Amino acid sequence: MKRASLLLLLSLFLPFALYLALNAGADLAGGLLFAALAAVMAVTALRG
Amino acid sequence: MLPLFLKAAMFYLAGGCGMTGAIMRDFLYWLAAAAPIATVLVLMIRFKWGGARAGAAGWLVTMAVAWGVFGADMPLLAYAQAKGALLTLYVLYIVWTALALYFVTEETGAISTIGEGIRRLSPDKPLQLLILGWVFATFLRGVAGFGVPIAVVAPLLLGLGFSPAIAVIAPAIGHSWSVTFGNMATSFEALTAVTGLPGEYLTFWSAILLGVSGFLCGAALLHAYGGFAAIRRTLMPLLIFAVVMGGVQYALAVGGIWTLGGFSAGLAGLAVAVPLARLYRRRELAAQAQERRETAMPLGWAVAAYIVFILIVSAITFVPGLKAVLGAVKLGLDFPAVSTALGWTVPAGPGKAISLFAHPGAQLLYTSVLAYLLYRIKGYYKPGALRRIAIRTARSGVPTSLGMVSMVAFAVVMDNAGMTRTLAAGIAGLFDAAYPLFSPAIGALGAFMTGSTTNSNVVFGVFQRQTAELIGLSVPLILAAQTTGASLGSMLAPAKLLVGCSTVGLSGREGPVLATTLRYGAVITLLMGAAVTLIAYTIAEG
Repeated sequence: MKRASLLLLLSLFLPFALYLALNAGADLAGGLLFAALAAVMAVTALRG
Repeated sequence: MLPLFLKAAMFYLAGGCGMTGAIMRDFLYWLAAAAPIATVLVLMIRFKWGGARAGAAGWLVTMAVAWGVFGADMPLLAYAQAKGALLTLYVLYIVWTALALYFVTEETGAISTIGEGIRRLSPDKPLQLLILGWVFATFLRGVAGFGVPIAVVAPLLLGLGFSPAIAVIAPAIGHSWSVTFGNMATSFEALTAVTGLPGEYLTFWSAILLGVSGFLCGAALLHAYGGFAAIRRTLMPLLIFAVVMGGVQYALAVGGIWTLGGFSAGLAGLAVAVPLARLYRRRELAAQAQERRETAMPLGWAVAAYIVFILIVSAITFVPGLKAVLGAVKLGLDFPAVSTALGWTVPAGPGKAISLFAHPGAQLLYTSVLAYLLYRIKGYYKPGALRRIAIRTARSGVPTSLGMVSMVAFAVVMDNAGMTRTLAAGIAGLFDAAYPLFSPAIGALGAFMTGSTTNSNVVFGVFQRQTAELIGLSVPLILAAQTTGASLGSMLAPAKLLVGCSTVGLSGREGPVLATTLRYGAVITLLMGAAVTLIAYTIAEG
């Protein structure tokens, strides 16, 4: 339950951080945040 | 590197099938566009993964295909994530507050009190089945989703002497027609959000098709109980309930208050059930109905939370200026134009705005707080109730939400990368004029595979719209077929049937229940497909 809640919060709010990074022109930060989001999805797919 | 590798692999594959030129290219793009949906389907049906895991896997496949095959760059994928997150928050606001309201009332024993009230209404078995399995399940779908109607009604039917299988099958079939406009019309809101079309544009055909499917659902659960003899014996109540519930839902949906459509339909059905049951009461059975069982509270208090809900929604809808004042604070983001390497362009524009204090979720939140205070003052809660309500809401909400985040995100990416359009073009070319026959089945398939009508509308909404435009069919009619099929498909969602079976001691023996429900679901969905075809080529031409 704790892991699912954490995954939910990350997958909901990382996209907004990504949006802010892109709008600020911080492409590297955007890339890292996107990689983090992909990692969250991979963990969700593998562990639920 | 990856794009080149993926394209080379695709062309190698198609070459082996003997295809050449443009047909081969189109077919490969279509296959690639279908890959995310196929991934979710296979993982959920073949490997029995839950929605959260399968949705996340679908998300990963979507990103790889959108980037590798459709030429979506980093800004397009990233902005699509933010659009998806905004859309998800919009829907989750309703999901979580609806769950909270349900547990606020359920914790007092109000739900079982309402069920007991219905049992006393009539001792006639088919009529009891109709009232509990169809009307009461519709009402419950109006206030809560995610298997709640089945989980609540199945034990009540079992207690009235129905077989465990019928106890699960009846509410599964009975509640499905009202899913689109039930629970603050979450599924309908999701459909309008993803397609970008106003609700007013879609309500007419949606309410008509759902009303017809409601009658078929009522007839189907009677047939499951006692064959055509049960339908003949209870035909008049069946018709009256169908007209009243379908009519009320139609009036509210077309009148612009679709958030109350399913809830009010159930409420109207329950109101009609009282005089109708008295009319049909047989003297020799009347004594059985009078037998009283202990309930947690008087019936009036049991429905108090829902009366508060109606008052709040009505006030926000009808009191001049109130909606404007509450709707002043909005959460929204602006997005720039983005395009893929293949030339598919998404114009700049705002994402889905969330009105923090006038949103349907906010209305449910006000109701939950007021209902909790009301029941607390009356002393209907045992110690620790608030903590239990919070825990049960979180336990139900987290898994559903996790699945929704990834599925909404990949549906938005598919749309923004031109994948949905490619998929729609392929299907339109394949089915062409026969497409309306299959459009409800596509919605039903989406609900079956994701376990949710909302997710089906999110995943297939844009696809159905674009297919309708390509073939030249009426867009509101085809989207109505999508949401009708998605509603009917919710009766087949394995997770819901598992919940129902667990409440009547059928755990581990769900197969026959699923097989029977599947049979009725398939017949009703095909009949609706035939109706959509008839309407598409006579009344609602595109």
